[in-house]
Amino acid sequence: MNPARDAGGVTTAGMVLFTIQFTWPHGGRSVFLSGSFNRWTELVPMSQVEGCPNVFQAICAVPHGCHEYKFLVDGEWRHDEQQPHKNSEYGIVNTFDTLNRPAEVPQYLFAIQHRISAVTLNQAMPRISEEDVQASRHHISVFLAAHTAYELLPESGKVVALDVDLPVKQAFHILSEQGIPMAPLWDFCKGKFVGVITPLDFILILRELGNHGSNLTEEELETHTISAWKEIKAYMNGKVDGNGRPIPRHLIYAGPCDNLKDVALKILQNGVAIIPVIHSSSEDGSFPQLLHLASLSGILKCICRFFKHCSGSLPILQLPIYAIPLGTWVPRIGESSSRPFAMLRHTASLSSALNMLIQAQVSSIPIVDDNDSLVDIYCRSDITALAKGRAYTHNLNEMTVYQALQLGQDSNTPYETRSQRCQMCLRTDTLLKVMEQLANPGVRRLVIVEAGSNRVEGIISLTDIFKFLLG
Amino acid sequence: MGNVNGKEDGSSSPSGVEEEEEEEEGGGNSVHEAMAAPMGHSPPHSPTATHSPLMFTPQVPVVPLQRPDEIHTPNQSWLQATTGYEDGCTEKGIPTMITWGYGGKEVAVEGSWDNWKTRIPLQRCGKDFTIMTVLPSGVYQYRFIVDGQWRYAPDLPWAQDDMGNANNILDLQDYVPEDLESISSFEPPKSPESSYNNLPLGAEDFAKEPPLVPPHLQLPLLNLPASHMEIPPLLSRPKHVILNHLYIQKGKSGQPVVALGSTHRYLAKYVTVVLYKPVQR
Repeated sequence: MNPARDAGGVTTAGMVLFTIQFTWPHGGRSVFLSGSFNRWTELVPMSQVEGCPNVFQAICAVPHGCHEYKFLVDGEWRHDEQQPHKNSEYGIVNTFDTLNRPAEVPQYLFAIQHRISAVTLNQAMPRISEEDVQASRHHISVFLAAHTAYELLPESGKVVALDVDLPVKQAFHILSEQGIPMAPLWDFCKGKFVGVITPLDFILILRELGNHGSNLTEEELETHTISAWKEIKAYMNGKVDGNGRPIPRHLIYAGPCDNLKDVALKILQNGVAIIPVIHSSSEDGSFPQLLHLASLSGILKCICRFFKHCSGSLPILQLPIYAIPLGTWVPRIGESSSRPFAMLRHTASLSSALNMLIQAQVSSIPIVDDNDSLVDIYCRSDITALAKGRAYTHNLNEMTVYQALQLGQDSNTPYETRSQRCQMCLRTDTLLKVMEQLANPGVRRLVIVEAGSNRVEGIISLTDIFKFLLG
Repeated sequence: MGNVNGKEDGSSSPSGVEEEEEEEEGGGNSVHEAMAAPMGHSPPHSPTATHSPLMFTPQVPVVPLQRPDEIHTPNQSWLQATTGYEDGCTEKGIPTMITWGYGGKEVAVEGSWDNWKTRIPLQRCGKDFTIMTVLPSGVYQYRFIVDGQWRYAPDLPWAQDDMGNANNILDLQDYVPEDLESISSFEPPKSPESSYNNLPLGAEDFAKEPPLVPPHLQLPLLNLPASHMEIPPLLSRPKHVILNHLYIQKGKSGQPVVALGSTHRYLAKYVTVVLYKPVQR
């Protein structure tokens, strides 16, 4: 084995990696994987899949390009006949390439359902019957329709709103100080709430600042109001009417008497994370009173609270999550329709992370270390940490994701940070356990990891759970 | 405390709170004497059939009096002691009392809190059977076994499960909901049409020192330190005196931003809204 063989790309800081799951289904006692992506120097141990003693799997992060790989099974080098293979100087090797996946700007798809290939796991997979799923969905639907958004309100809650004429920079600092990710916007002249400002707005603004051809300079950021930014955003998205005036987006909100099912559907269909709950005592909606910011996590908490002790009515709660079509999983070799899974090394630059968040339309990216073990997670809402020490004025290409995450953690007490930030679960955990973890406030997604090595296998988010539960 | 009472005569009166307070101190109220013997520490009657207020209102530590110009310096030490965010994993148990008042010789209760595994026998106090247990906050189903027969209490919330059995339902919150009837008298009266005969304030009024802020208005929920992102701080129930007052905080060192804060009651819950506004120069 020539260790100096060019693997088609050395991983450097900022390089985007594709995570692929390799499978060896032909049995053995100890199986290792080696390939051009680790320059044939490393032997990656493969772990047995539970319940299938003949199947071994391993997850590797591979850079873009054409790769060859081979398996070391009980001391003997073998290749998988069922997968594409070719002759090379090492004998017959398996091949795959990432060429059919675009290189520079990967077009990620946030897959909602991703079934595990039944070919390798059909022996062990617990049967999930359609009747169970329908019965559970029916119970949850009945429960959600019987309870209102009023129940989401805590006994004594606090909400922060911003005037729409505040400069964007002020808004950034306020959200960072208050420790909240987003806030509704109040228009004093119109006397009503007109929208929300979210971390995505800040990410877009920072990207605009970085764009040399942009018309938004830093001085303008000081004086730019939120309303002016919203107009620019409408232009950027092409939402203008016949006269070239931007069409304002209407505020998506719920009333306290709306039932939880409508609130959840509103959140899912509009692709938002949090919607304000607004009460108006008069018919025409004047004098609105802001009550609460409702999210799927609050609704999930109600569901868990109610069904935790009567799991008989929800049989699917006891199933392990790998048996349910839920979440986004790392794609496997041989699955041609699968798309790459967005992950980054912690030495990647912050601007590449922000670009990935926008293009992949994901709300978070797992950060892995050199062994591909989960280290941390970068979410959209982490952008407000950049307000500390005005870090957003620094060159985002030179700041690494690791440094950006450190900024957010300095002010918090140590024990809060890791446990709250990066919630993990195993593929064998039951749906009830996953739901209870997600029902904790502040947890919006769980990273599915392999036991022991902490390698990332997939992500389950609140949206995934609700899309599955509501059918 | 949450109480569940399967009695036939469950008359509700908010003043029941005070009665139980006296009972705790060993007051000799003749109505309750018969109940006091077997379970000395348990409250005999619960005022409402479905859920009762606490036996005594929780004591919120009072901020030491501050000078008016120090109103908005947050006093963090005691605030964090009372309103620290608790990790969701540790569920604190809430003492709950379950009562059966429909007769029988031997009464036990079993519930979904341990998946219907164990039966807890109730202890007899006169005509009723009661038991005290500690449960974490949640929604539970339960039923009584009276002389070997499954029964449910029809005056308490109940529902039928999938197999057609009727079980009682216990919804245990970790706070005691406000009793709306007792605070409905706090609605402000409508303003009179006339009789506004105070003169507007003049220059000499503004030259005087402003009056001191009453000390009980210095307990706002606005200055609690922000905890971790996205996790709402657990705020204590605000005192009614601070409701519907508008607090204003000038922005720090020249920033043209002002924060307005106010706490309102909406039905039985309280909302504190903070609005940040730019100040016109």
